[in-house]
Amino acid sequence: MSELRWNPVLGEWVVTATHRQDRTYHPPADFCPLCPTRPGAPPTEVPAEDYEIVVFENKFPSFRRVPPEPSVEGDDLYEVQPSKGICEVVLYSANHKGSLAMSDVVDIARLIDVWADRYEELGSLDYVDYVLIFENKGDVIGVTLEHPHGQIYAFPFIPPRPARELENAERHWRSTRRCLFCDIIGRETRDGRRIVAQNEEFVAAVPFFARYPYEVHILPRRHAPSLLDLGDDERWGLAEILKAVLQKYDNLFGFPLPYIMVMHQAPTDGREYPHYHYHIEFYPPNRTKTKLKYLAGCESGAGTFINDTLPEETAATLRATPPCDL
Amino acid sequence: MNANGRCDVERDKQREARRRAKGRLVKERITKEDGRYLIYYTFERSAGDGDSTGSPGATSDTHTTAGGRGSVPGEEG
Repeated sequence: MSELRWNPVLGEWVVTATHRQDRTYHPPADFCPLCPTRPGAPPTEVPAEDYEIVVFENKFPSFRRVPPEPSVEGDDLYEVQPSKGICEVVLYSANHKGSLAMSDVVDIARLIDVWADRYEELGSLDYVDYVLIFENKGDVIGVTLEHPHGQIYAFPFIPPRPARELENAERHWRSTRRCLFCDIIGRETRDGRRIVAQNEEFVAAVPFFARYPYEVHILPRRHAPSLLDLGDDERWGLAEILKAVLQKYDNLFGFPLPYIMVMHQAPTDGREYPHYHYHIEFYPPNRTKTKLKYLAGCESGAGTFINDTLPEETAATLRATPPCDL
Repeated sequence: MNANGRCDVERDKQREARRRAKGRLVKERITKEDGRYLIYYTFERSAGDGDSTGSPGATSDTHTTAGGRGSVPGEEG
């Protein structure tokens, strides 16, 4: 069963997807469903002996191109909609033991071209209002397959967090005629205390308002609402700074750091968003080498994060963690 | 010099070489037995890099239908 249920209290959609309870959970070590299909071996998701980058529809999607009828009827109080959309899996490499951090810059640059292609193709569908590209990494995030991969959700609505960003960015734009994110980049580069890495095209910083101790946002210096607005040099610059931030993460505590990576881009609902600014956000759950940040009472119940660290201090730590030169 | 004090000319030459190495994005779309689509993304290297030809930045898109494969396992999400 899968449907959208409207929460009239918070004014947001919840997606039910009961079939996902049966999704593959930590398969045997000798069989990965995301590896290429080897001769004589059971078939995997990819019917080929090798590949560079592969994208396919998730077998256990939260949204479907042809969604099932909702399991309950909606009414004025409890609106219900079919969960129409698309969920994709993006396989970064055929190398089971690889990761984005271990990838060459050229391979990350290729992946960025694929992300851009998916954003354009999915965003062109009339029922897709928002394309969310993301990666969950690490057991503590709930990842059940270790093969390097990310996901894409093509939403039939603009989800609440990007919607709040858009609302505040538009308000700032209307009152100042400037982009909110461009102002943040200007502040951070002048201040410098929260910068983690930078090159000619991008800036990576722990946000002034970080919710997680080692949260990092990566933003293009030039105003660009989506990946499609980035030129070749900028995409290469993004590949370089992504690799640098990911290597810093893996060197921070001496193990591959779990994280959630999300890409925020302009919605694809047919409206113009000149006030929006493309960026990537990382949320690593570790607050120390051995301790995790949990979303407990204040975070889950009130929606207010308690950060146990100072962004200026965690940024300094990440800045001093190799690689230190881009 | 750039923000990190490195020579722009050297950096630009390196980037140009890497851009050539990246190649031209090519898509091949298939439909799996259960109706889901799968897209192979490959990157054709330019003639100057010793591989097949293609103009950087262009995208080609072919469509085929897969067949003869058994059931496939799922993935997390």
